[in-house]
Amino acid sequence: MAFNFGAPSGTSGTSTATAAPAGGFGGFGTTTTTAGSAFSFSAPTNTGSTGLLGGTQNKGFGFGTGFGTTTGTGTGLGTGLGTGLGFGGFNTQQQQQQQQTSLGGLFSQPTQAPAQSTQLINTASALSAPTLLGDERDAILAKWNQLQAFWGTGKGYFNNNIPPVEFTQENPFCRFKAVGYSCMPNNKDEDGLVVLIFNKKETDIRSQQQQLVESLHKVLGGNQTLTVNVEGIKTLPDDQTEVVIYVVERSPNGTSRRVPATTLYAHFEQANIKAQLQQLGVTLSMTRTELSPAQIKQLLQNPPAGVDPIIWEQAKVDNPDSEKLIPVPMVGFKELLRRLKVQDQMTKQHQTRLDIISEDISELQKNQTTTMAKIAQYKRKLMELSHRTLQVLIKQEIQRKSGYAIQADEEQLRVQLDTIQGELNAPTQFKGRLNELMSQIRMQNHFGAVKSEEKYYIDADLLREIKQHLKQQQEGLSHLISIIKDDLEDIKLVEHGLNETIHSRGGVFS
Amino acid sequence: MFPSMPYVPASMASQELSSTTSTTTTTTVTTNTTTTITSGFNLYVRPPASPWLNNTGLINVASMPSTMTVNSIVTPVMTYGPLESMANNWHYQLQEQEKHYFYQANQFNLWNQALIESGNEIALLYNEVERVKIDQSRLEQELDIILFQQKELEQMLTPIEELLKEQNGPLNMMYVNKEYEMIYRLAEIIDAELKRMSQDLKDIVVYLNSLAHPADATEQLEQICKILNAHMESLQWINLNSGVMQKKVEEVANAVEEYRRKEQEAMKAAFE
Repeated sequence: MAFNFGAPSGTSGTSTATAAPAGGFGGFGTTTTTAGSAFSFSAPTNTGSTGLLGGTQNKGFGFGTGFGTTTGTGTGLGTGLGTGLGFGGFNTQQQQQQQQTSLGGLFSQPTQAPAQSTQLINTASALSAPTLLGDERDAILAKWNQLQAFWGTGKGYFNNNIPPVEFTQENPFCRFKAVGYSCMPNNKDEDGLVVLIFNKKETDIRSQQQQLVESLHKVLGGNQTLTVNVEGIKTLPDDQTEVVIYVVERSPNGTSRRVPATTLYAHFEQANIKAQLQQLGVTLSMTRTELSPAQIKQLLQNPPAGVDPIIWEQAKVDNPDSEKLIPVPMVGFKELLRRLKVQDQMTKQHQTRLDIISEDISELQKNQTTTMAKIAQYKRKLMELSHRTLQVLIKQEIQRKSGYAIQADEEQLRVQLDTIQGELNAPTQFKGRLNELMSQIRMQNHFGAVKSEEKYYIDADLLREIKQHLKQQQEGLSHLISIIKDDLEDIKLVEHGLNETIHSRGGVFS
Repeated sequence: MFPSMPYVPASMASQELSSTTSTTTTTTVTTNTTTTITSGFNLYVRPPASPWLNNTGLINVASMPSTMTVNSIVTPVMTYGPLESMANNWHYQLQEQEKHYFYQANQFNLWNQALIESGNEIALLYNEVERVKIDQSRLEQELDIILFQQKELEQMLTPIEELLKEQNGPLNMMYVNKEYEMIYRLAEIIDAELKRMSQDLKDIVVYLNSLAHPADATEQLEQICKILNAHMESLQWINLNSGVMQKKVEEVANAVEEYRRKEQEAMKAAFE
């Protein structure tokens, strides 16, 4: 560690020594000895800035090396982070210089570029070479600054005359960063969906839903042609609730349409309207519309603040479903905790939905049972009605035929009916067999009840005998089948020969 | 003299550092430091899994390490050596926390993917259930139609039956009518018997279907039954093909007989 850190210090010394011939060193000495002089303060600042530019380049490189070496022992991600950061810093430096060259004529542009550069320079100084005490104790302070930067909080003091650098979780060196994925909404602007985040519990929102709708209607001007509808209500962490609404506008000619989401959102974002919404407990409003291809491309191509481009590229590659998901940075433990809470609630929602589906399935099964019973009942009723219809038909025919002699077709009908009845009543025919089956089933039921208590066990020897018997049976069947096939082929051959003989003989005789 | 540094707040530790340089020409430096040391980080422990209703195996995690125990140690004199040691120690703890953070982030992404897939499956299941509901309601409507038709038929049959019952008395004496009645009564009796037999057959089928289910209990017996069934099918095939072969043999015999007869006629003609 000490050796790795020593290298950047040496480089820094080299940079300072290199700046000396230009007179920078003298200026620095002047500042040290006469801090109160106004003239000395401004002139050395410019000189120092020039020196620091070069120094920053070297220090950045050195820091990158050290950082990579240090974090390489931690995780591979750290190594990538360090290397990328060093290289990125170098590129930024190059771009800044080019901008200064190309925009030299403008006064305002150089003012901004040095500011961004200064921020990066200050950060790098705080992390690699603070100059507070002027001896080896600065190295310990550098470690302290690094610790704060890794945690993403605190202030980095690096110079007696310059304000400290604020470390936030968005600084490039914060360790607690990861990339998650969010579903992209697929609603269109014409759907008119706007999301309102209320600082109330879901139960409160649901109990006061009607009042809420009326309040929103007033916020929209109380116009009778507008109707506020609630699309969905969902719980969010920390006793917040998400309400999705849309507004329907009725025209005088009777047609109705939804107010576009962007229009509704713009209305909600007006100053006075926003104040009224805040009184209702709304903390945030946004549109729920799909992202345009340009927006998606912009989001994917530019990494968010503090996220390393390499990590961002890897997140895009690892996206499980690039059609529906988009990478989203997660910075810090709090963000991760919030995500986990939302995930837990989603899990509960899934479980609730599964419970509902389970109840529905139970209801369906009950209905199925009822339906089966109804079908059986209706079938019996159909048979009964059919029999009654036949009875009515018989009586009507008897009355209709009274006074007439028996006709031939009626005699034939009587013969057929007698035959059918004879077949039905014969002891070895249908009825007898059916009665036999029924009695066997009843006996088997009785016997089965007794038999179910016993357990069937096949002896090993018996099993072997059965297997051998089945094997012999299989061989016999195969033999019979082959005999039949051969005989069929022989018969086919005989037929073929016979046909040929008849044909040739016929030819000779003719 | 170096200026005094202001208070530096930090989520993990806070430190107030001030240094005083002696006015003498010696190089001795005394430092007075008040440091708050953080100890006892609660390392994250994975809670037991809480399975879902249908045992999908998803795991819920709703807690993160959020408590820290802080002990305050005031040392009258501290040199930069111990401070560096503490900084190194905090560096190490930072790396541990980083590992936990990335582990949690990876777990989060895995659970996210599982949740999305589960959501899709739940949506499919919901659609299937809705479809079954629609089918069932349609079936119930058709049953209601059938019931209505049956009631209608019954309402028409009842008055006719009553009317016929009244008219049946005085016309019962003629012999021809008795014969007519016997003929048609026979039809009624046969219809009743056929319906009863149909019901019995249904009961037999239901019983056999219920019997078939527990037959899977004994594996060896089931295998033997399958083999015997296959043998039975083979025997049926043999029986069928034997019949076919017998027919063909008869045809061939007839053809040969006819051929012989033609041959004899040809010989007679040649001799004459």
